[in-house]
Amino acid sequence: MANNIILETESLSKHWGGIKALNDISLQFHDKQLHGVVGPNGAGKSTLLNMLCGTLKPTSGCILHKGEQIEGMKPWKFVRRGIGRSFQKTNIYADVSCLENCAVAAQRRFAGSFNLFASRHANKLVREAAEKALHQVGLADRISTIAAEISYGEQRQLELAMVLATDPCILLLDEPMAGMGHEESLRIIELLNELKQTYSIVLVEHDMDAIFELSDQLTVLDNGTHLITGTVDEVRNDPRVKEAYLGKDDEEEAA
Amino acid sequence: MIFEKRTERIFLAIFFLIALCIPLFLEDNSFFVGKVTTILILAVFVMSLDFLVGRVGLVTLGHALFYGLGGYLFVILTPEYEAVNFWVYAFYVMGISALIALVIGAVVLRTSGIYFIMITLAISQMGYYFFFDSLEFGGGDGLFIFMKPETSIFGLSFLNLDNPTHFYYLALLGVLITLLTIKIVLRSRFGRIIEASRLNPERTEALGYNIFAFRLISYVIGSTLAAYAGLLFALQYGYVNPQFMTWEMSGTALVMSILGGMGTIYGAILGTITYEGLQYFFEHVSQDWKLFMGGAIILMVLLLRKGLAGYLEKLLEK
Amino acid sequence: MSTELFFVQLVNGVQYGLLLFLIASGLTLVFGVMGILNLAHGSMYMVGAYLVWYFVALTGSFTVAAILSAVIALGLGILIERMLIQRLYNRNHLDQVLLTIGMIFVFNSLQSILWGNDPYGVAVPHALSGSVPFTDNSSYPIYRIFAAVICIAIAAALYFLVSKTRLGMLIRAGESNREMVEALGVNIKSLYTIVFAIGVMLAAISGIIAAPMSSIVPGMGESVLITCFVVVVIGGMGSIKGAFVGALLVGIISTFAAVLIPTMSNMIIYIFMILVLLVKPQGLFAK
Repeated sequence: MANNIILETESLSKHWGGIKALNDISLQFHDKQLHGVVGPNGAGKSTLLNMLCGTLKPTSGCILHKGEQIEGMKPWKFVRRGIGRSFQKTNIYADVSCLENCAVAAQRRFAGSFNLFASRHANKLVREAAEKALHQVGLADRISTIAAEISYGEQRQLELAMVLATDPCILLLDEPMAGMGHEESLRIIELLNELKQTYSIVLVEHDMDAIFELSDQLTVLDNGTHLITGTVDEVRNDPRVKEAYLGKDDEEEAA
Repeated sequence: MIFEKRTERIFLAIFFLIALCIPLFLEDNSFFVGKVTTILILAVFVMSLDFLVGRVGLVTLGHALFYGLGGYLFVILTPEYEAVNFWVYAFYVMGISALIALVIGAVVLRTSGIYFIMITLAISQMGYYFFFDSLEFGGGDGLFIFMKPETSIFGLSFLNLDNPTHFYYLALLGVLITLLTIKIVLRSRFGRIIEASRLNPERTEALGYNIFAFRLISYVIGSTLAAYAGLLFALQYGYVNPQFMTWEMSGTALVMSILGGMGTIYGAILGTITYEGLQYFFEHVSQDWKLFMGGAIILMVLLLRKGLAGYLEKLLEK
Repeated sequence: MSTELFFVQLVNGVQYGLLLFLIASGLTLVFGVMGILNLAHGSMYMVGAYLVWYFVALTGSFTVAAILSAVIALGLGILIERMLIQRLYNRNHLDQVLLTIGMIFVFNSLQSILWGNDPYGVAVPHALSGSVPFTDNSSYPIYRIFAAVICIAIAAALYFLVSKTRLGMLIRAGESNREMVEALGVNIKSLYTIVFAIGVMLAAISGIIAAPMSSIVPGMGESVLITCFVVVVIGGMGSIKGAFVGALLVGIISTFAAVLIPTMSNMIIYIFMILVLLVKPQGLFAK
């Protein structure tokens, strides 16, 4: 079952002065697979995601989307190519309704945004797409509620809905379950299982149960370096991974 | 629904009703009609600033540059002793202002925050000194407009701009059109992205929108409206000079906008009327009107957190 | 341009720059520590100049007048901070702009009421009058040298204060992390009052020093304010070192421009500022 490589990094590195956030990372992400990315704190997971969606420019190396080099382009060009991203720190439009949040996301697909005259509410397709995205994540009853007034877990769902409303091919998800309770997490896991069928997903998460259940492929990063990529079982049994995680625990116990 | 808030609809209804009738009550008092005309013209200027600062999120201290350009461009383009067609030349003036705004915007919109404030201030100061130090454009004294333009459309002329009452209605029409233009743009699909860029620029970029382009277009729209206001003001009094484009002019407009309630657009009209009204009142009470004006401004900042419009909305919106 | 003229203008430029630094340092200090953009800062400069003129006329002694003016300015700064500025801490920048513009109105009209609108002058104090030979053909006024020296002395004192004293440490800490300073058990309100008062004093002292060198006229506050802004933006908002470098650059450039390209001299500092911002969008020494 060799799916196409849809996104790829070659020797990707990011340095901040003397600090090496990411060093020589070469990864392949396959079409319609969920590819988990894990690692201890400071491993460089967020940096990787930031580069995959264009927010950060790499210091060296390249990023290929369907074979074309895209590193260095502006973030909005990444989105145009179908690379969507959700944020770790909830980043929504707090003062407007959930529907409006998703409508902003969806508008680009259906209607020219440089139209200065047509009312924003006039386009049915935008509204339908926004509502569909909200339904998908389970926020159907929150359509008209102001985003600032929904619960934290629901805001994480809204975060996801906004990405879905842009109808991407690739979903870059940065800890979508951060701060969620058990039940809410289960709902997200179920949702991600569904989404796996249609989208290619790169999932950064700390919730190991979710990662092990969902990942078709799993990458472990540690201190900016690429430790291993493989199936869940391959990774779990790898001694280097155990050391990376357990080694950290020992240090903490000694301290 | 371009006027969503009840307070807004009530205020605008009352405002336009009174404004339509003012010349009828003041037939013989052309001085007062002239004073109110100036307030209307200023309201156009302040609304365009409120749009940029309050809705697009571009805090510019150089807005008066375009106010001055409106007047200067008209004088530069028109022959001295000939009455040109107002509509045609207003179009030219606004068109050239739009081009200038496009060029300036393309440069200044690369900065943000306090640096944007400063660079827009710098550019308007440069404009001020350019005209002040120039010999061709009248220097500090400025230039005069000897012939007011005529207003025929397809041969039918119905406004005589030498008549203060007619000019008043032209200014009022300006207020109406500016208000409608801004409100329609804000309600449009373009306006949705503008609002999104102001609420959360990072998010909006992450959704695939090129914020720079949206801001640039807004900057052009706001600046062009300011130029129209400047054109009207120059025509009203028959002159234009560098004082049109000082930072004090930009600052005063900002004060009026904040006073009225930043971002509400109708607040800009309210703020302009209040400021000018207070100044007129204080000027007649005492020679030291600035003292009272300053005190009034300080009190309003401390007591009315969201400007006059905010206060009214607190009272009237449920 | 002859070498002689060059040196004279260079010294003029440096001296002007030093004075600009004195004013600008107060503005950038207040903004950096408290996040307050005080548009009435120029008014404090004006207040210093008018006060020293008033007290010189009253007492005949420049020294006495200078000290009195500085003390009054200090008191004024504390009063303003306690009564008005304190209420701005949780408000946005635009409210600060509005309130401080209101203050400009009040100060300008008070100046008009108390002292009238005629231009005034303060005579150079006798002990500092006269000139020293500078080059073969020119001499340089002693007072200007004195002014430059005072500016350098105050700059040094400011540097010492900010980098070597406990107050300075609190100031630097307060710039980046308000909560941390409070957690250290420091009353942040008092810190802010002190910082604001220092800012006002710096502006007023510049006005006092500048008084014998220029006309004391209405509007002098606003013209200096704009130049001040340019200096602070070039140097980087909140950076005193930046204000120093920015002030010297602006001082030297505008002095030379006035001689070399008089028709464009007004515009030159704005062109310079735009160029700096295009290369370093946050100013030269941005934090």
